Amino acid sequence: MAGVVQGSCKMLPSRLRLPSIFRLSRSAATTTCAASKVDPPNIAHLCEKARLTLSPEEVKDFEPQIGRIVDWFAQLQEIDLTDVPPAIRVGEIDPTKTLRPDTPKTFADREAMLASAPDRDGPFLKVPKIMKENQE
Amino acid sequence: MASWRCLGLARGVGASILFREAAALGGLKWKRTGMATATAAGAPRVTSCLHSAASSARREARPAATRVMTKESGGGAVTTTEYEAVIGIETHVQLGTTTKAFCSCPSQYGSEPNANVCPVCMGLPGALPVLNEVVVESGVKLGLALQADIALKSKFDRKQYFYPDLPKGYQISQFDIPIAEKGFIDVDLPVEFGGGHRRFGVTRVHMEEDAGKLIHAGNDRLSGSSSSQVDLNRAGVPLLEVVSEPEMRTGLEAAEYAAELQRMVRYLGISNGNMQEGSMRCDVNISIRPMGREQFGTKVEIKNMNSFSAMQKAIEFEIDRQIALLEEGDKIKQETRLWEEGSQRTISMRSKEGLADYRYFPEPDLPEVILSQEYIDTTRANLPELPDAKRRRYESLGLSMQDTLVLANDVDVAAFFDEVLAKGADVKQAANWIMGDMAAHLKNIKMTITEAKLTPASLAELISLIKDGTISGKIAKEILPELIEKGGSAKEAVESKGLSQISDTATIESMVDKILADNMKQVEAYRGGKTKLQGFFVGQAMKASGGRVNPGLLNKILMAKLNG
Repeated sequence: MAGVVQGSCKMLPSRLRLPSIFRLSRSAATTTCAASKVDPPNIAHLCEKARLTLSPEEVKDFEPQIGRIVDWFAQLQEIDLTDVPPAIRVGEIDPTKTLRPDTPKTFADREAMLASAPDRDGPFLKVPKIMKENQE
Repeated sequence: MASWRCLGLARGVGASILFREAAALGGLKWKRTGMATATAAGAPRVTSCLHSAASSARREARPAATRVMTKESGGGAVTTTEYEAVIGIETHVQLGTTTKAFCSCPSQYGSEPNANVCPVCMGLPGALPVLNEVVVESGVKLGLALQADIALKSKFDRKQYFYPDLPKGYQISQFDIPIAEKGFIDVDLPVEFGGGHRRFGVTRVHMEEDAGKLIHAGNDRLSGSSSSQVDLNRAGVPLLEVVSEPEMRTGLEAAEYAAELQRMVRYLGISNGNMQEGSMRCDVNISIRPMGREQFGTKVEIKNMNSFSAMQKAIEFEIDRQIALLEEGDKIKQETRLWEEGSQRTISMRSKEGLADYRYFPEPDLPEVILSQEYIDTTRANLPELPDAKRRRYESLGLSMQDTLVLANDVDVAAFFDEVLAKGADVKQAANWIMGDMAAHLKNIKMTITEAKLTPASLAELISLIKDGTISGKIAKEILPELIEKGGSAKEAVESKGLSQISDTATIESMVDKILADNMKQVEAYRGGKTKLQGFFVGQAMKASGGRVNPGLLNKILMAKLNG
């Protein structure tokens, strides 16, 4: 979803890249919002980000569908948000009720949970070999 | 704490003992651990004891922020380009909380693999994260310690990427509204590198969660193993990421910045800051540019440095590598490089051509973090004395910069020293005993200062016993090891062993009479002009008294009798 609306940074900060420590440029990023047009979805790029493989036929099939969803949300672009502070969340929050004490509790069904993993290797979960080059 | 175990230097004699033991005390930082000596070129060189490795690698202080490359052009004329390095550091500090950031799983290091997991940290559908209050408290504490602006309202975001150590497919982090912004760190550069004071800006501090651990069984390239193992005990453990401004110019400055940040988190008690265990991880961004140019060069990220010394060396290596590339007319590639401790160089890990697209968006499962000004003020009021303030105070007590740096380096040592002072001990004496004999003995028996049985009160008592002449410094040195290992009061140890100094004139006189009577030959020789024999008589008296006789009185009485 986030990738779909690349270009509409009013809605989603997701198009902002993690700023390098050399150029933390929140303000620079927000000024690129001038164009309120929402770009059409790039299905190939979305697939890559979501690690999905689609056949060319499927891409053809999905492209207009996803495009319609994006267009529907794009109506939000018409709202004039000048002088409206960004809302992180809707509604009031009681800040005294959002935190948890630092008291440990062991999850009782741990074994059942681990058993649902596709593959295990002793106490470890087993995953296909990871090449070091891919490390984040 | 490792500092107490670090002394890799032979014990010297005389004044250098103090310096060397002091160096051992500061062993967490290699910069404090060496004796600076002059090389032929006149540049200061330092023989260092590197952390637990205790190697005696020779380190060289970079003379300045710039390296000069000289190149001969066609006509034989020499053109010179001076380069400047621009260094920024991202530090991940693992918090010492009891539980993880967003679930109640224990977060301690060293459990059985996958022992501390639950649906939240394993990213099962429907599981909801709830923020640990100590994580917020730690973030506020560090933000305040960095003199940063604390956000009364901050939020969490999802940073998305796919990797098997990240079960949810995203990391909960803070993106555009971190808990603290715009702080700074004040650093005192080591005396042996010329000293000096620096201030480095801190861009931001944000809260986030750690990922799990991937274990690549055996040598991945050779074993041909087709799988990796995942341990999710670390998944969800809270981190504070501290991002510096790109204001460091040398490896030394970068290492000092990181060391000060480590001291800060230890003083605050929010993390053990241990680099070897990975509780503190520094990623260094480094680029070079010709002196005077404003525009930054292409930056390279260096990872995998597990000590401040490695950090400094990695940066110095990287500066040289980048200069050499530019001088050859090559371009610097934007990439991530790993520091290889074995070969002492950086190697390419992956190139970063396209910036990673993490598709950040606000974490819908967590409410904003809302803080009251009152909470911030209370936290500020309860902050402990921080390293820089402590150093300024020690200096104002009359301690040298070297002593100040050594004592304030380790929070436990500083606390011990402060308590000894609180018991009324002389500042210089307390500093000397802690950095000297105490550090040496602790190192010998592989004990930390917190494990020592010697209490600050007992050390203060020992110092006062010397001061009032009850025992000599030599006797104090003799009983110190037992006090460190077994504890108890210094006064009682002295009394039970009959070690108090003999300062009674009549006793010393009769002792001297006996020695002179037993050694008539030497007395005659002395009186015949062999005045060097005075030392012989003093030695006899010390031997007879077990070193307890007051040396000043002894000399006075001895001279009177020999010459009289």
